[in-house]
Amino acid sequence: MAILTAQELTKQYSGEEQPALNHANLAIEAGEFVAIVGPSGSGKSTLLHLLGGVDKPTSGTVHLYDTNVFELNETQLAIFRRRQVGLIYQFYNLLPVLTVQENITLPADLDGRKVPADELAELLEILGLTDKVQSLPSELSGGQQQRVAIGRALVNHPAIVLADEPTGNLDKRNSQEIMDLLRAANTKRGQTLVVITHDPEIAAQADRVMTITDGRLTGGGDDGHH
Amino acid sequence: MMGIINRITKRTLQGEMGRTLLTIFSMGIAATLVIATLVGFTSSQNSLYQKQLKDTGGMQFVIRNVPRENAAKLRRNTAFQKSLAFAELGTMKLPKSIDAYGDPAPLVAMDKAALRQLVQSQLAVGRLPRKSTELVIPTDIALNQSAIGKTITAQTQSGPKRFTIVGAINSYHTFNSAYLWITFTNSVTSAKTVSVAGALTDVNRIRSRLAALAQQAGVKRPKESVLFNERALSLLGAGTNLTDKATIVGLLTIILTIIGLAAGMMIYTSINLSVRSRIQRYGLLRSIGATPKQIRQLVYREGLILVLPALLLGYLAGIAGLAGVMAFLNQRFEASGAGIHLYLTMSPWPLVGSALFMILITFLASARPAARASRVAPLAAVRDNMSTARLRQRHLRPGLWQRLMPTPLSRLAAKNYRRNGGTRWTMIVTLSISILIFVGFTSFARSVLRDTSNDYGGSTDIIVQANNIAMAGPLKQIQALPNVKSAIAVKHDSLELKKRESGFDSQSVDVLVVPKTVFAQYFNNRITLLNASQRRMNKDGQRKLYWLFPANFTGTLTFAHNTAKPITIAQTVAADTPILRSLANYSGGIVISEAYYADLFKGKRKNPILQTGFYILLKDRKKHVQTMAQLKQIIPTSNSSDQVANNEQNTSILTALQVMVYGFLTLLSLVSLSNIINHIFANLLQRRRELAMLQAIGTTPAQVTRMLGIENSQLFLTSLIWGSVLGTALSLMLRQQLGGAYETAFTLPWLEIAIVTLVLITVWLIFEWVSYRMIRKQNIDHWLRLT
Repeated sequence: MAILTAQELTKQYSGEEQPALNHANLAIEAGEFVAIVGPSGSGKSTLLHLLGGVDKPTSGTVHLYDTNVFELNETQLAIFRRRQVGLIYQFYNLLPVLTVQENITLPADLDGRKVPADELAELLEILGLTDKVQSLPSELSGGQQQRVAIGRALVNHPAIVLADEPTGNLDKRNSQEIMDLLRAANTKRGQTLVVITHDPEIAAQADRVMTITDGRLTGGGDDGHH
Repeated sequence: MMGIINRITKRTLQGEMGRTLLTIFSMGIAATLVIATLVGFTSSQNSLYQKQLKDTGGMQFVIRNVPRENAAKLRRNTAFQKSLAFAELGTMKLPKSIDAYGDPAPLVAMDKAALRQLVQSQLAVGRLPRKSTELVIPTDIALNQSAIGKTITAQTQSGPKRFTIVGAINSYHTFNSAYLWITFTNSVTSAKTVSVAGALTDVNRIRSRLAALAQQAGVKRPKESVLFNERALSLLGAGTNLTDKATIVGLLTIILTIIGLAAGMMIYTSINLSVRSRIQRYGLLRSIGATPKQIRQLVYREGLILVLPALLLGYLAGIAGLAGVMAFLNQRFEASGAGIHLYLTMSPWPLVGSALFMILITFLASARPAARASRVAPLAAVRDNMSTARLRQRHLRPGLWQRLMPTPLSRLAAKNYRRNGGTRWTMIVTLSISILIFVGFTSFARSVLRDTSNDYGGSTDIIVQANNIAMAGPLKQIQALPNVKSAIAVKHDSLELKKRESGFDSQSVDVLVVPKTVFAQYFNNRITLLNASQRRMNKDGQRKLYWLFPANFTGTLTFAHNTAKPITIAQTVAADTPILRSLANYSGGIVISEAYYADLFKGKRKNPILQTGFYILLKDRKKHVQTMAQLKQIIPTSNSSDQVANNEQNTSILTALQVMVYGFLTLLSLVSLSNIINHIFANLLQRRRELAMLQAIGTTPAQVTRMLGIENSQLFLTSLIWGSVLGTALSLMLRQQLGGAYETAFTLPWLEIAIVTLVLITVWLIFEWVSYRMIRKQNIDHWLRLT
């Protein structure tokens, strides 16, 4: 059953001739691990941001379960992102003033929810950050910072995790560690996962690969390419 | 949820300690200004109230017609801070020889304690009564008729009674003993009704409470029977005069608006810069689910966290500063015998009010940045941290500055300046308003204070006035006093001219009758037209010296109604020395000898009773008190005016005003200055990556510094022009509003503009030095890698 569907999703930036995303359609099943590949500037990040409710389309819809994401108001959209979407960026984007633990629990804190201690301990264990809980991001390596970002994306048990080039800023060993973590989340926790990458090796680890070229998406799942 | 917002805010501020401290310091100056103003205002109000109370016998009210059996109980009421009673003896009429109008006035009898408390401070001439046959009456009657020392028979309610008038009290500023005839008694309760004078501990609802107390005490018509010390009470805001209340509220509102504007701009700038530098962070928080409301809370929280230590700083600096200033002024007042003492009054409302005011200003100033932060799109999380201004085509066209710049780097500076849209305008507006406030208010205050100081001095040291006494004898005695340098005596009369002479200010002219010695010494025995000058505003608003008579008038003056013989003026003399100025008394006139005056009317008019004035210059002004005492012995019934003491008092009051006004303006300017410093340095810190990039492509630190310097000079110059022009207009506007009252002439505020220019140059130089050091030492690689 598809939990996330996008229909005729188009994003046209003002002053640009070509749309960044051109009538994209896709459907993602629960527990699926999808990779979106494409050259630089093809519209990968735009698609990801639209799926996560971070940006708004020029036309088209995104449904998570039965919710039409773009019919939500600002506050509802923020709560939607907080509870249903986990976002992972290439440059980690952690809050430098918060510790590892505080960065991880931030979405839960914003929701006014306390993460149960055993659940947090398990997550830190999986992430390999048990001995770093009180460290600040500036005291961590790039790989460790990205693990914190993954923890933050997973902490609220979102319906879907969207990762934008999560290994783009890491060396090979760290990249594989991060992918192992994401893969484990997918297989062990049944976490639905969409990863944007231009690395074929990473794409190969996904259940399904979609390709995006000049804003046109192929392999979206509702066009018979599944 | 609030916990995480608090943590983020606190740690962000801790992480930027330098800027946080600068902001707290700036807000602290603003808080100092608010606290010093409000506490200073209350303290001044209380000090003036205490002074007024002291001058009027220390009481707030008098309840009249209290049945004697109830008086003691009334006085024991716990609401009373202090009280005393005096006997009411009904009304009394003085003989026509003393009081020409003969209106009946209330006669009261006081014991020694009441006389000392209520009457002593108002005694102008003579002494307090010591017997029930002695009387003190108001000065206007006593001096007009030279009544002191006379024994009279007055009609009292118990029949005719003989009194000796032993003193006169000032009847113009009292509430409890004005227009009373006061005698002595040992037993206040011998009368059927008594008056109870008193003061309450708390003046809240004083009128209704006292009416109720009076009613309880069996006073008939209680509302009409309570007299209030209105002038004292109005200083506490408990007066009935709505204009007074409105003036106090209006003044406070204007001052708080100015402070609020300066402090608000400063806080706005600070918070706004923080928001601008954290766009990416807000974007990130939004992308992981922070609601716009939570982002707004984050910004408000930052403002409130900053304002709390600033308030603490403000309390310490404001109260300590005020205490210091008051101690200094009290020293001055004491030395000059001004009779004023400033009390530092720490009532709760200014302390709580200033905190609430600062919090309100912070809240209002944070509103726009908070709204801006809450509108940050989640997508900002993945954008470059450097905010990009929305540029229009016209911004891309080379502006005037850009065309004038000779080097590529200076042209880049001009481009930066022009294309920095919103930031540039915020800075120009902020800086211009700061300059406007400084130039406008300082130049206005300076001119008003200068004019006020001009009004003091310029006359003799002591003036003694008495009614129609002989001049020659007392003058000789006065001139013989060891500390008297010179003295003259004069009697003033006024006559109407048959026609207004050409060049004369008026058709009526004063006649100054002087003893023959003065006539000989100062006027060579020649009938003289003494020309007086006044400062007047001409049509162009210029304040010019204006002479009331032609400079060299000679000729014969004929008077209307043929009352006096024509007088031939032999010379015109300008009243340009203290003695002559005093003699002229701002209106000048014809100076003649006593003998000539006696012959002037020749049966056409009876010589009127004239007031005699003695004008005295001292050898040693410091000994003025001793000389005053000696003068009192020579003319006991005189009413003396000690100009030395008056000038000292005026000077010390002027000093107090200057300290207060300039202190206020200095703090206000400091708030604005810290705002500018905060602004330009925050801007520098925000642009470190851009500057690192310039260095990376081969620009030297000196060149980068120069580029920043050019940008700042454009900003400062534009703001200086706007601020100076608008400040001058504000000063002119204020002057026109108060021009009539102060007779102030308008001059361009060059001094203020020069001060602002100097301060801006200093800030500019400091900025250049700091930015050069920072850029020279910065790790280019670090800043370029940073996202």
